[in-house]
Amino acid sequence: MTRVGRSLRSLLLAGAVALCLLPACGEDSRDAAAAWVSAAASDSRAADEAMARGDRPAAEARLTALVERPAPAAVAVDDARVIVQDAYFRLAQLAMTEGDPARAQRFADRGLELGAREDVFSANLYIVRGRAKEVGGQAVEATADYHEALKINDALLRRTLGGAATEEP
Amino acid sequence: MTDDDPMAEDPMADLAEEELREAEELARALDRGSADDPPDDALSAAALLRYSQGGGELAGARQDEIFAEVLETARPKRPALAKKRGWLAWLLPAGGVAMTAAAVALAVGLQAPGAPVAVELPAPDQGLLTAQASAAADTSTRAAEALASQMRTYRGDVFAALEERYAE
Repeated sequence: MTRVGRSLRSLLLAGAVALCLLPACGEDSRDAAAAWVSAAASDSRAADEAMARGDRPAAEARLTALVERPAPAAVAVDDARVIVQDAYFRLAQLAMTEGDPARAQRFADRGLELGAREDVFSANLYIVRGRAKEVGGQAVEATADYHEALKINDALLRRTLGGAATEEP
Repeated sequence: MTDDDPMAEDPMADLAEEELREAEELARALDRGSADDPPDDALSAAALLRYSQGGGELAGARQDEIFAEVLETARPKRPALAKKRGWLAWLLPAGGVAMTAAAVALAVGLQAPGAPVAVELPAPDQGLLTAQASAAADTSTRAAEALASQMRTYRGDVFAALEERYAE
């Protein structure tokens, strides 16, 4: 067989192997997504338990592990965002409890950098950042964050009440 | 000599175009030994005339001139073939790569129709939203704790929805 023939055969073989492996890859990515969500849920519950027994460092360690674990591509961007934003909100709350508004603001900033949406998680981050700014002496900036939170909250409330109204006979 | 005298007429006038062309080809053949489209009889005539003049031999200078012309116009066949093979050597693997890439893209497209779609999360209830509004307006610890408490319940619902969806 000529050199060209050998090259062609190798390429076709590589393509065939890639095609055979694709279903396995899809399976793997689904498993990775499920594992990531499950690990995040586990971290979140463990943080709750740690907080309940007053162990803030343990709670912070679990929440930090959650935000630092990269989400696989098979997890929808918005699903990963709400999970991580909620963890940043809790980390910011912990920092506020420990009297560190600057750190709380940094956590809130990181959460909001993932993208602010009209949902509970973004509103919570605006609230905790407003609180951190207010305690840190930035009253005007704090008001702007509270205002953002209230706008989202108002939209969610209208949607909830609107949905409840349409469900009534 | 009058105008009617046939001897006064141009001897070339009666020649047909075909005859003129043949004459030109004959002249070329006499000079070069070949022509683009020589009539057979012209070549024969040229060969006879040449042979009668020099015994069929070209003068040395003329030989050199023709040889130089041949060298200049001749196409080297082997390099051309090598060039073609070079193209083939490129074309075949490139074709293989393109076919493989197309097959993989097709298979990936069939496997994963697009980016994963986000889960429709449970809607927050009125209790959570009220606690959130209070926390935004009231900076007391009590308001923050009320929000944290409402969030624990909602967070549980959100994780349940996400785990169910990604376990499928």
